[in-house]
Amino acid sequence: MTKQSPFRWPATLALGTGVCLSLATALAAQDVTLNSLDGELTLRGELLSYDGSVYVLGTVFGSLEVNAFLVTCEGEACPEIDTTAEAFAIAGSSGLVNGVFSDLITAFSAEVGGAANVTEQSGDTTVISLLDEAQREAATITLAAVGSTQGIADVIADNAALAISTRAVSQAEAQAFANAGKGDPTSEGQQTIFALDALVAITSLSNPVRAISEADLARIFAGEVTNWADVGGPSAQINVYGRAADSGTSVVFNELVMEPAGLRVSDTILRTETDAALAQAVASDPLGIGVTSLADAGDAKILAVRGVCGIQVQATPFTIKTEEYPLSRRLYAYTDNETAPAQLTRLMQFLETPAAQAVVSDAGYVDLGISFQSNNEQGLRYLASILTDDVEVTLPQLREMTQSLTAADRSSITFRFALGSSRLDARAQDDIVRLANLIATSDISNKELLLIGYTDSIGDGAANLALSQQRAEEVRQALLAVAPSLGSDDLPVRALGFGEISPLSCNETDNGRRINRRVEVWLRDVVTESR
Amino acid sequence: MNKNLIAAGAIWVAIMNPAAAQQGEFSDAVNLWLSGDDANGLPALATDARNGDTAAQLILGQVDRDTIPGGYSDFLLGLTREERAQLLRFVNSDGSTVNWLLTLQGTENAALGDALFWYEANLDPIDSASDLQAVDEISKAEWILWRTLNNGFFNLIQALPTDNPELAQVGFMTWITGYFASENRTVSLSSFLADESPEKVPGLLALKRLERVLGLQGNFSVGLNELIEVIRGRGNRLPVTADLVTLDASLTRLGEVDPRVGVVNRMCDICPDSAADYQCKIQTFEIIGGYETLLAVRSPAEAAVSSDAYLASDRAVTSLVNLVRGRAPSDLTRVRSTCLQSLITDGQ
Repeated sequence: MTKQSPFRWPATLALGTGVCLSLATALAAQDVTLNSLDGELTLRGELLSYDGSVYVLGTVFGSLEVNAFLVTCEGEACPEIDTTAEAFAIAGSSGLVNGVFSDLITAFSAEVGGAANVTEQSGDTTVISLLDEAQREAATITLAAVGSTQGIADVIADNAALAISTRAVSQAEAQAFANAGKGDPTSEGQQTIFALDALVAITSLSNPVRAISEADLARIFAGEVTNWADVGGPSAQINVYGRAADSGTSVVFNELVMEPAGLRVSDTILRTETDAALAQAVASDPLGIGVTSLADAGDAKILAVRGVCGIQVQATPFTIKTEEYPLSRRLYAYTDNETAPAQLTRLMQFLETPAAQAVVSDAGYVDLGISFQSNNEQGLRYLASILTDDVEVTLPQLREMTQSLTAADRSSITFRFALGSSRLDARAQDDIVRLANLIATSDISNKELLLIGYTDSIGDGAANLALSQQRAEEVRQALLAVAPSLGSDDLPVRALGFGEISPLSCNETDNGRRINRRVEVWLRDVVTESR
Repeated sequence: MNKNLIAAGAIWVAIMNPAAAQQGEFSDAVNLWLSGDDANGLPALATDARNGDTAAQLILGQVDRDTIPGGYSDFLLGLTREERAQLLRFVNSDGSTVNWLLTLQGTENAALGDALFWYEANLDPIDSASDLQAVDEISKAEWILWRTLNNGFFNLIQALPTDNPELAQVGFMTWITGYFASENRTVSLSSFLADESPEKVPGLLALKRLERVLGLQGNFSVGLNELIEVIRGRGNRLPVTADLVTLDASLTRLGEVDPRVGVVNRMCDICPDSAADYQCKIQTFEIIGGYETLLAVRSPAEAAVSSDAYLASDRAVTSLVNLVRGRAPSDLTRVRSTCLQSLITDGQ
């Protein structure tokens, strides 16, 4: 038996009684039906707004925001949508364009239920056809592996919609953006940090040297040190490999290593076209040394970076995320100030998702996700406490810290502070929100959250102890302000301070002291001993 | 079957029917049936039905047309078609039989019988839900709305008729409305377990149906997503890192709030070593096909047995056991739970 339905109108009205028919009819005309492209779902509701990527529907459940790219709209109130495939270019660092973005576009197409087909490949250029869930061409994307500098220039010259760079834009480039009416590339709307990376000094596996200081590295690249014996190796000539001066890797290397040492890279070093080619050349040269990206180190040996106080830090995803590895760098994407193509906007939103960050990680770069490391893997912490002679530390203090950190894992989120200050900066505020979100979706049970403050060695030990506790408490208050439900019995939040006793970098340098002024985030098991 | 002919044949029975079913206090026959005893309960109900007991008529009518409340019990499976008809249906003077629900034509329970008999056959689910809600068969009305949404027809839910606004207030819909009204849309396993709403499970499952187009991915914790997989009957697809002991404990807690999940817990509690068998509840969902099937374990007619009374009865557990036995893999080595193995074996 099938029955005819009575006249129906939007549920927003249906919930009330005594609504006049004429009003209902008028609003019913605003109803739209949204059909998902996979044919699995049909939505209906009063169209409240549409901004090009989201439909807002008034429904029986309240306002719903529907991803406009996953549905088609039926009804008189539907906006007119241009379904012509967009065409845009992404240009920049060869390693990032070929090694990350081609895979990112594939992952993005899978995420939206479509496909990404390479339709053309020649030289440095790859053309990809992006299909949506209904197998319609949504965009034609040209990937141009032309280097960071050219990628940025291409956005300024309107030849690309997105620049992928292993370095931040220079002042001159920012000025060029402004001169071309392309806005401010350093603004939040135009600049995206999508991954982290590190510059690593590499040698052949047969080279006995295990670590090198930043100062020695600068002297080697400047041509002042030319024999391995001067940096702890055999008596033999050093063959130095580097990238072109305008490559992102060279620019960052100059910024982080050469300029602080007041030196310039020698003109006589051996140049390679790409980071990967550099790693290959060094790996096969027992006397070679070079600096490349962590992601491109390949078969070469990665040297630890040794500070002036003797602390050695390895480049690992964790030390890079915590910014304790001194040669870390961020990877950037830049757009101009015009409205980006819709599919590019979606791709940039996708960059923030775990699926996209997994692609970044698979490519050898460091993703932006929060990771944890057990206390057992924190050997550097104890080594550094003993190695450094400028910190006031006693064995009972170390014992107390060790007891606190037993059965605990450290998060890669680390809050840092200006000298003598306990005020959180803008990045720290972002990290507070990230931490609160992580806790809200992590099913943490039988744990407690420890916020542990540390200082540099400037000043009196007792004062530093108080300052470290004050910083930890500041973070605790900020966290509770964002997530008031935290701190309950489910997850107690404790603020501790250990002063200057656990440096992770040398206090002799500005950067080392900055690294040491921190509040670490630990998750500790709530241990109940059996009787 | 032609409704008019059925109605004409049932006039005599209609005269015999009392006005309404008793609520709260059940007859001995209903109690016997609610205890899970088909062999004695169904004949006793048949006697009461012939004597004009509406509750017995409603139950038998539903058992006859909807196997879930009766399940595929050994007793019913052992009957011939004729024996089954004689037991469960009204027998006309010419020996033909009629479903008891159709004998209510011409009585004040006609709308109730009509709604109960035809709701699965009506091609317009909202009409069915509306008809059921009008005769206070709320759990069935909710089931239809839930199934409609889960089949992807949100548009039909949106087009609820204006003459029945209460339909928009059924449990799971209220839960979803509350979710969208909340500023905090992240849900962790612990916050979900702490939620006291008995309709949170169907609400969450319906919400997950909308997850993709509404961009809600990432709002649910890993542990909660694993629990959802279990409830959907996909426990065998969990990653190897899944904490099965916590998931089992989570189902126990859910059962304290959601009486349907509580039926699963009570079934697994039959086994003496249930505390150590953390796979029982998880695999029960897997075998029966998830919470959707569990929603079908419900009172045959709330006018005869309230939803809560039915779910609290042994009948509900018996029905679930019958479902598990009927849907279990023939190769018992694929059944990971020792409790389920023994329950299935006992029925063979």
